[in-house]
Amino acid sequence: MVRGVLIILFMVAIVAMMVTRKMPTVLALFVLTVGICLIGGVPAIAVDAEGKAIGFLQVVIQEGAVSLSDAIMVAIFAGWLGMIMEKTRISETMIKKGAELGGDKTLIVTIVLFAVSSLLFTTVNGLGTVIMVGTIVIPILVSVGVDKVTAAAVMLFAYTVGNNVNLASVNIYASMLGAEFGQIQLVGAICAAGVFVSAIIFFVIRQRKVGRKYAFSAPAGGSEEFVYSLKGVPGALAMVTPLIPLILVIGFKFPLISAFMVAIVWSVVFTSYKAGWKRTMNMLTKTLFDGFSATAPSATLMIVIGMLLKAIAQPPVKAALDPLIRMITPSNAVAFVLFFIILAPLTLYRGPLNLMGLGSGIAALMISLNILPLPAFSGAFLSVQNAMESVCDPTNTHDVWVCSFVGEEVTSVTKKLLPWVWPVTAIGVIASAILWL
Amino acid sequence: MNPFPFPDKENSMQILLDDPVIAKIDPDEIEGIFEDAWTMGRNAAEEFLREYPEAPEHMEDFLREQGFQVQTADVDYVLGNRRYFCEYYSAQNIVKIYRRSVELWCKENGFDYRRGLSLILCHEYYHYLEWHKLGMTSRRHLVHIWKLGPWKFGKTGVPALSEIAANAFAGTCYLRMAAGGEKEE
Repeated sequence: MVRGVLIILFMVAIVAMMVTRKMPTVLALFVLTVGICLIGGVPAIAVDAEGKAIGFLQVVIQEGAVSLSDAIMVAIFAGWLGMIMEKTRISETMIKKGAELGGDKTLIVTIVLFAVSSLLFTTVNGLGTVIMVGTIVIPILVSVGVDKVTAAAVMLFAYTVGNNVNLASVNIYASMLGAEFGQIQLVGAICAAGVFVSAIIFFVIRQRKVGRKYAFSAPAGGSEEFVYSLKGVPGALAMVTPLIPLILVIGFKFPLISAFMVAIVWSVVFTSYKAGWKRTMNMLTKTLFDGFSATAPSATLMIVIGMLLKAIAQPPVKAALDPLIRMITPSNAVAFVLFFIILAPLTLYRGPLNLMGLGSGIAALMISLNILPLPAFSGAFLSVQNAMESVCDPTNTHDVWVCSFVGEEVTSVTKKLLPWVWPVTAIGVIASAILWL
Repeated sequence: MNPFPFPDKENSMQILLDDPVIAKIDPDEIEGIFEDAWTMGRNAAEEFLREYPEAPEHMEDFLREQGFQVQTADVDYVLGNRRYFCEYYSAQNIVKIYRRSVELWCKENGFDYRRGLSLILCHEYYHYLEWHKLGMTSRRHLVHIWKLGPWKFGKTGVPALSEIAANAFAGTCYLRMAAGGEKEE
């Protein structure tokens, strides 16, 4: 019990370090992993009676680092596709076509670009792709008369909608929680629909409040020349690219990496026929490397989360934390719903309900107690994560980038959006309770 | 396009040519549409100058007197590939000035800060007029929202027309200002 309390206190100290930005999340979680093992009394190097390794250097650090490797690989291939879509101007063309539709109807432009961005994020994710889409979408929105907070909200809501059904992302959470892919996908689809509707209501109300923004402005630099130009039937087919992995995985049960590779071939066939063989080969190689680079932040986070999950699962640590977690784990449907809805903001700042923070360990512990079914806990954690956290956590790199790009304070934007995603979290939690309790 | 455009006809035409909906406008109509928007702004300015002949000389004070919230941010605001000098929010009657951007614009166009800012604020004042009194200039020419073969769906306006009229308004006010004192070199 004393060890358990010490571990909780250590977790709180690490959260404080992350909130005050004294330590980046990835390093903080690594320190947390090692600290949990040391406080929990896990030996550094040891073998049990059967000769099986049980030391934390062997099991937690070595094995933990590769325990989410499947999800990391999928993310890398998705990152590659994302980079190809940027380089061949598929993303840009989709967004500009969307802007053409609206004309001077700011709300229509907002909703169309929100829908297009959401669609793009169903295929690509990570900070690199947020920057890729954001640097096109946000300037268009602001130039047609959308205020900066709404432009930032478009990106954050769109990222959340897309990410909820993003195959790589669904795969990560399924691997992390040990849940079935289909169950995670179902909760993700519910949250995606909820955030989509909530966002549109937000845009309508916000536009009534702020009105249209006019600006005296001018281009700050020259325009770039591009090799790739998407026109006619090939251009239209190229713009179907983001849907290809979804269709293949959902409709034809393709494995994820194969689905992304087919989408890569598809995008190249319909965009690069004018670019020539050599240029296309160079583009494919460069985007592959760029895709790795763009995926690096989330991949490193997954490496450390893999270690943290292993640390929490070590028998001495589990034994120390079990009594404490058992005390707070809801044991019936009503307690379950109230627990996750009321405490949902604990997902912010990498808190105890954040699957990309302390919550990965807490979730593993709650699930291991077998008090309520695994899918219910997975659904609830995911609802908190993929509705509230994804939009409103000021420690998210995509939140920080979007807000700084538009020139707004990240906490002031996320505070404005919190009331719009909390009800969606509630819907996801209630749906999980109805489906699996 | 000039990164620090003076609100004249040449720069205003470029705004129309850069509008996202330009491909939906018949090329033969472009000149006429432009002239219509320019005339709209110029006439509004003449009316405004008859009512408030001295206002363009001190637009910031004038806007405050008219109940606008005038906010100044001490930044050169560049977002993406675009520099913003000043913004007007129609439902809140807020005018936001990006001081360092305006300073750059004034330097490039040979104005002192106060005069240059007044010219830019004249531009924004037109947006107030079209939103609250004159009707939307962007709606003076409508284009289809979506076209599928021979079928066209929905109608929307051309955002550039509002900017052209606002430039004409500011340009006409500038001529009045210039008549009252030489433009500084």
